[in-house]
Amino acid sequence: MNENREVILHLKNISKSFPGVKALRNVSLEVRKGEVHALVGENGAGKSTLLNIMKGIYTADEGEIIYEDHPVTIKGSGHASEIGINMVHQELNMVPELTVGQNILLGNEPVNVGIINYKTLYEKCERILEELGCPFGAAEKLGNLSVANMQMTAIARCLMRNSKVVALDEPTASLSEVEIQHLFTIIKKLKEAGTAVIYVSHRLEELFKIADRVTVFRDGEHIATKNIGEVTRNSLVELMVGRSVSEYMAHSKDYSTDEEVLRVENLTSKGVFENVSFSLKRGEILGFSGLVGAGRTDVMRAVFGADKYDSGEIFLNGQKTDIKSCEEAVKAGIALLPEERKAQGFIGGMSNSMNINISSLGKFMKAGVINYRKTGANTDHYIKELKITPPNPAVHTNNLSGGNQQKIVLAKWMSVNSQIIIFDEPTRGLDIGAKSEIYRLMDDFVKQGGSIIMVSSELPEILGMSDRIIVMYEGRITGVLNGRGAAEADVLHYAMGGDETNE
Amino acid sequence: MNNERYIIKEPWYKKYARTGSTILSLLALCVFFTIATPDFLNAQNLMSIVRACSVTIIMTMGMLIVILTGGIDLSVGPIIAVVGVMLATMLVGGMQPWLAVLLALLLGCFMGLINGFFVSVFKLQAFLVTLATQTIFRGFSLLYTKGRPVPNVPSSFCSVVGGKLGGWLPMPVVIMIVSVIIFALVVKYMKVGVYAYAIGSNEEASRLSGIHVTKYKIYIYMIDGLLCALAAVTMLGRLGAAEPTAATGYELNAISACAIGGASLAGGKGSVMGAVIGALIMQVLTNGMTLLNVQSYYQQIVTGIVILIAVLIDRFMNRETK
Repeated sequence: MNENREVILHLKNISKSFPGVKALRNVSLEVRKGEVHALVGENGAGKSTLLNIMKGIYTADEGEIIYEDHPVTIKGSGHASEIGINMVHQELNMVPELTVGQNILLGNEPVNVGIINYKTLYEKCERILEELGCPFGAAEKLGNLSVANMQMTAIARCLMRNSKVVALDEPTASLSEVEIQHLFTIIKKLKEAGTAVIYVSHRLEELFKIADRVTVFRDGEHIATKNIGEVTRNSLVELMVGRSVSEYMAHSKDYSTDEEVLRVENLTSKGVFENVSFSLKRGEILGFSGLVGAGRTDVMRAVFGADKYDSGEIFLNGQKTDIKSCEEAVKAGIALLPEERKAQGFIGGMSNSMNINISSLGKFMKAGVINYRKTGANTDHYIKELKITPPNPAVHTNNLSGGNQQKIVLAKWMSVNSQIIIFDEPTRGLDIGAKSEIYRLMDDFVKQGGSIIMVSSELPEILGMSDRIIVMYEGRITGVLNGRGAAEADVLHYAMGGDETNE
Repeated sequence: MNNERYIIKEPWYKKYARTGSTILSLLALCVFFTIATPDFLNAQNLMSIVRACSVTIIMTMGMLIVILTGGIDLSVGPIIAVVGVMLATMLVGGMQPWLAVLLALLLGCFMGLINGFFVSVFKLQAFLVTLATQTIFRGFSLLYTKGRPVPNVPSSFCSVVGGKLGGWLPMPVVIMIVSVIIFALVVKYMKVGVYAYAIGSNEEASRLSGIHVTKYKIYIYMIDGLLCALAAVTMLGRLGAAEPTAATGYELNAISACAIGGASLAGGKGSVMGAVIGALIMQVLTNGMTLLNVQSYYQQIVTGIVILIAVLIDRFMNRETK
């Protein structure tokens, strides 16, 4: 239907590596004028990396970008905007303290001898907001708007810059049904005006309503580009996942016992998650699946005492507990390996040894004095047992690879004899080798009687490692599956909000 | 997987590079002044340098542990003033010196507690909290004394705290050395010291590691207050009278000493040794320039330049390790 439309942007044979990860392998993406081109794939498939290359935030190691029939080198985000390539980020990067108009023209304010001409500014913005059918004015403070309206503002900003290519990264993640409809109307208007739209979304149903073509990425590779009419939801999922999982998963045996170590009942944090109930058995790996933003991390942070919750009860080994801080959680034997390793998992500017011992110093103290011989021995023990490289206790943890950093965090929790370890995205950003090592350590841990909750957005990981799978959608548990032999489609079905009776 | 990529061979001297460079700078300054003036290098002058910066060093340690957490304390001067006038009043009123000193130290802790409480419980910025308490504490010391100094502190106190150990070693120097040693040991061997570095490097990761950040931050500000009170005790012993306006601007000396010694105001970086040497460098500069009859206006300019150089060195060294 749009075969003969003109190609505006062609990313050709792009490759990009980060330390330890090959993020993109020789991928290409061709975007035509006036089409909505959907880009799908699991987390870590390389979508964001590609968008960031298109936006000039990263430079590709190999490959070229052809824009309006000419090869271009995009020097940075500002340059990309200048030539007409814009992106609406998932996290809207705007200034809530300024007005809508100020945000739309941020950096491009109309000036008269150095003084901002607000009259022109607001007139220009009002015009574009009207065009988009936005129910708010340019003089309104951005911070007072709903997320959906902020999204509209971000789109207005793209239009103001005369965009020829607009990338929308998960634009509907925080929108209601009505707002989504409105967004689609706007996208259609953009299309009619000849703008190319790159649309990244996890919500597959949406694609069928809005996209013309769809490109699937998996593990940094281009898998397929098809007209939307040629695919079904199921075939898309297959393309997204389709890899043999068992190859490098270490958890082949279920060590679950009948002993319940943790039970969570009706845990609620208003607006974040609601009536979450589950239980964890000794020796079990309990997987938590769902889309990004489904509230899994928030539930775990609440269980760990990092965030407050409004209501609900938590039982540890059958006893009701009232954990109010991470300190109490750690004492009770619960540990959390956060998704944001660098920001939350370890202290970058400190040595491996200090990071391993930081939570268990009390064990190595006498009369308030730390015995560094004992902490050193503990460090050496875990460096050996977890095969941490470089095996140097004095090196700052900042300088380690992601996999080894994760091992340091794990060693920290093993040092305090944690009985329940919550892994939030345990292998995010790790390469296959490091992944399989982490899986092996998780398997060892439950074999020795520990229990694990694993939050993961990677389906193969969930399916390969979990003894039981809980699926969340928008703050609710939508499904519980047996980990052995659960079907990808089932997990995805619940993750997209489907309930038990549906389908 | 290619782990070899991540093996970092750090040369042994790297670890001591920053403190080492501070020590070398101090030595270089001493050599310079020795050559420039015959009055510099003799036991009497060197002792007077150390004695003169005893109070600064004690107070600087308090500042350092707060800076390590990423905080700052602008109220150290007024804490010293309040503790000074209260202690002097108690002593003049005839209280047993040991009891008066004990109460003075507790008072310092309490003022630190006030700072720590607002900084950690209400999560206010340390700069603003201590800016406020700086004014409050100063006002309090003026109000308490009606703006007048408290003179005639009994010699039973001054002859001990302001006296000389063994007839030659000034007591302020003794107090300073003992407290530096104890403080260095606390920072290295007790939770509160390790946690100060941890909180300053990454507060959220520290919290998620099970460190009770709120509690330890309060402890840290209390240690800061305690050291300020000790500085006040030492100062009163030397001077024999307390001024409500004493120690004005001392917070800047303490911050400068920490910075010259390699502490980062962003937190997580700095050493006791460095801060002590930093304080010594400032005192040697003042002393040497005075001996050389350099006008005090120039002295200020030079001190400022030294701070800038120290910060530039930090920037340079940090980039190198990246």
